[in-house]
Amino acid sequence: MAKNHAKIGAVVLGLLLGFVATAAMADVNSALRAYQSSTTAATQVMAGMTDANTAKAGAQQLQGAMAQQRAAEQSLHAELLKLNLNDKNNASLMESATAEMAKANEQFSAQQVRILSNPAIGEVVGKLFVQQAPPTKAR
Amino acid sequence: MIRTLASIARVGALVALLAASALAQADFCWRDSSGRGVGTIPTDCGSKENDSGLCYNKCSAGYSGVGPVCWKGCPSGFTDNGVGCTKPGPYGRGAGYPWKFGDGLNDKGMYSRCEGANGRGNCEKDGAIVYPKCKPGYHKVGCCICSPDCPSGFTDVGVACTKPTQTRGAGTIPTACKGGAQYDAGLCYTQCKSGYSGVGPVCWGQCPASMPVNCGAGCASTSADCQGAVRDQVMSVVEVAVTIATTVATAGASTGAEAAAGAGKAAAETAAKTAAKQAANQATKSVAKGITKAAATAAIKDAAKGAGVNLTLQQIDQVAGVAAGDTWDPYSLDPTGIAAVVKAYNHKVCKG
Repeated sequence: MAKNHAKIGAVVLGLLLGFVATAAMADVNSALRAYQSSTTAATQVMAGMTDANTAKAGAQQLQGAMAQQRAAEQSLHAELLKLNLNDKNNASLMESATAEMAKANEQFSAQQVRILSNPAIGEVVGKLFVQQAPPTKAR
Repeated sequence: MIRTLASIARVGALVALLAASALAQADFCWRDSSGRGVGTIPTDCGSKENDSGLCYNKCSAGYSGVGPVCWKGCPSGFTDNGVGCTKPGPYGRGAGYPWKFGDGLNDKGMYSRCEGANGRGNCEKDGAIVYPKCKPGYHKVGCCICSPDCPSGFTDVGVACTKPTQTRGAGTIPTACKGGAQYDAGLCYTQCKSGYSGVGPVCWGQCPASMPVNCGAGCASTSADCQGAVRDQVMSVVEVAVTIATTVATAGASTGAEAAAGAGKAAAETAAKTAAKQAANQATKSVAKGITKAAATAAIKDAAKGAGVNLTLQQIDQVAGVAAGDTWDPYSLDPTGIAAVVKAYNHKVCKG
């Protein structure tokens, strides 16, 4: 009888852990999509800036897009910290999510470099980039 | 009749001019003078700095002044854009080293791969990803790009660094002249030669020992002589002005009013010339002592002939007598008063 109880308990615990892990994976996916979306939006706004006039026209839009991107990055980072890397699925998600982040960041930073290398545009919107990056946390 | 009076007037003017130019008063002389060119605006600020025509305190080391503001200079590699220094270009630091399956429960795997490629201690984590650190003189912007550092005191505005500034007070007008030039009344002039003193664009000689009293543009024996000479100069000009004014005032009068206007003109002239005549009488007495009546008669005849005027013997005798010392005002022969001006200004140049 006692053995049966222990088995039942282990199964329930396993189900709970599985549910939590699945929920965490869902949150990471959601946060990753939000991050990719906001990063792509900011990248597209920057790509439309080809001179001082277009930079002035898009400055406010870029400021909003970058604020959303920073918030999404912090949210994604917080979700990634919740993943259980002992779980094979979680670990796999961690790998793919950070790779997707890196890919989005690369396109984003390529536009930043372009803008900061062009004084006519950089003088208009360059100061938007001078912001503190989200605090880093060790796992 | 009118023609005769006009002729007498012309001859009288000639006589008066001759008398005035022949005999300069001995108690007053004009100081020798020479021009020294137009003045130039002073530009020398001494220990201060000239900027756009004004003198400012020098800026501290490393700063350069524009008007009252000192701006810090840009470091090497930066481009000066006036209020700031445009940075050299930034660079991206790549996609970084994300976590990979098998890295374990910490960041060691990411760091290990990053440091394997960039050297130990040369990596840092940003967000969830490890990146190579920016090279010296650069700092990270966002996750993935490295931007040149601004020098201490500058403000980073992304693409450029805003310069720090210092104020150096309001500018002052320069009052020093370069190259030994002399400052006088706001302008720089070349120095006068020895024995001369400069006043504006003119160098004036010193008064000789025989006429030590400084009398503006001239020198006099005494203060009274100085005052008398100046008074003559002023009064003679006033007399001419009165003559011109009364002539203009009566020139347009109608025929019926000419008599009254003429009387008014005469009265005005008489009143205005009284002071000048008194001085002229005194001068004439002393002047005439050296002229014989025969010489004066000859001079008047010559002058009348030269002017194309026929004078009677009586007229010549009267004028010659006056010229030879009779108490009379020879300058009254000149109705314009110009002869009196010549007399008042006719002095020798100081010597010695």
